[in-house]
Amino acid sequence: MLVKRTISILLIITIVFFLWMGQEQRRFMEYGNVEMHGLPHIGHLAPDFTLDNLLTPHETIQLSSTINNSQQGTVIYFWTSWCPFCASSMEALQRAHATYENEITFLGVNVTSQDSKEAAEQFIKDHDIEFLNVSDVNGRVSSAYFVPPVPATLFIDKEGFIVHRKVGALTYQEITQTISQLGRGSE
Amino acid sequence: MLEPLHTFSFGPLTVTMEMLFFLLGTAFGYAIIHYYLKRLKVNVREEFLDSVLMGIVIGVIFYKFWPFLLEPSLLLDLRNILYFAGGPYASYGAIGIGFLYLIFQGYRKKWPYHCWDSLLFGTVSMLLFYSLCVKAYGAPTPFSFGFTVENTVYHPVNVYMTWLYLLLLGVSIFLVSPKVKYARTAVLLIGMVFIHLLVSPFSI
Repeated sequence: MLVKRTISILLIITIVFFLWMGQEQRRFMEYGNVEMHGLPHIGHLAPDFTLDNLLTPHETIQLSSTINNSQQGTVIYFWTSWCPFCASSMEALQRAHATYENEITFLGVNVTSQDSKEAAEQFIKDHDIEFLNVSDVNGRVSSAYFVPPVPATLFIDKEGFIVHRKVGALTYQEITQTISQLGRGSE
Repeated sequence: MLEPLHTFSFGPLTVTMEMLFFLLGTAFGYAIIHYYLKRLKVNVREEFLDSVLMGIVIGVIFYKFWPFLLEPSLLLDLRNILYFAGGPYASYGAIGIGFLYLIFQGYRKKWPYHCWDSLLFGTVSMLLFYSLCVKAYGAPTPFSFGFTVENTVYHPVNVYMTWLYLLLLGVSIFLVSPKVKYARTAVLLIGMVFIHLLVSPFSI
């Protein structure tokens, strides 16, 4: 009897507490000064970074500008040249880039701290990659995104929020399905 | 509590904490189903547990081969079987097909309602285990408690979930009699929906 009573009281207190918290949260989101920092988790703003272009090292690329300039969203793809999973996804990514060139920005991030610049450049040539690639020389950006493992792909909407994250090889169908979640609709 | 995106590597196999604790949680849920049915001395226990295991295996296979269902041409190169798995809807599909298999078997074999009660107990226990172990960052919070990242405090959604799932299990064990047909199943199902609604303002 005592257990039943205790659980009933706990249940009522919990429900009231959560409803109150929910109301405070709504007020906070509406009127509060909500600061959103980047977190590499789904639903959060993608952490910003600036890295050198892999092929033209003096040109820097900033993620936030890339997102602002994209029409529908951005796909970030972390890769290394020695990883067979990365190689098997490249054809699909290049195909998706060709299909969605005007709507979606594809940004490859070579984890150069675990690779070599020469091997990465050769890899781009071997796979006829046309989308933009940057070089993470000291691995700071990769570790902020919990990479390795490679490949890791993040789909970011036009507001900069992470919609989907995939660790492992990608197929073309998977890319198009996820891009449709970014608001593009069907191909 | 662990970061969901940290990874463990076992040779060529890399598993994220999310995936690892989802699998461990599934094993925990399975053990709870076993214990529940044993305690109530349900005579179709072994048969039901075999079907639960088969449902899990079907789910895992579905998840693994999802990319090949969408792009059968990938099978032309057998190395792709190693490389590809999952996809944006694969986990929902895998869970759905596993449960559908169980529902079909239950309909065919006319299992007693205790089996369904135990299945829901197992599911909630699995979710409880996962929430207890893996961090879930919610929206920024006006309160002082939560996960702090760069001076911003985020709702510890997994902590809320853990407490609510624990309470739900307590309610269904102590306030709902196992003798009332499907009562525990209904309470657990409604409870899960209610928990989702309670936590939704803090989730992201």
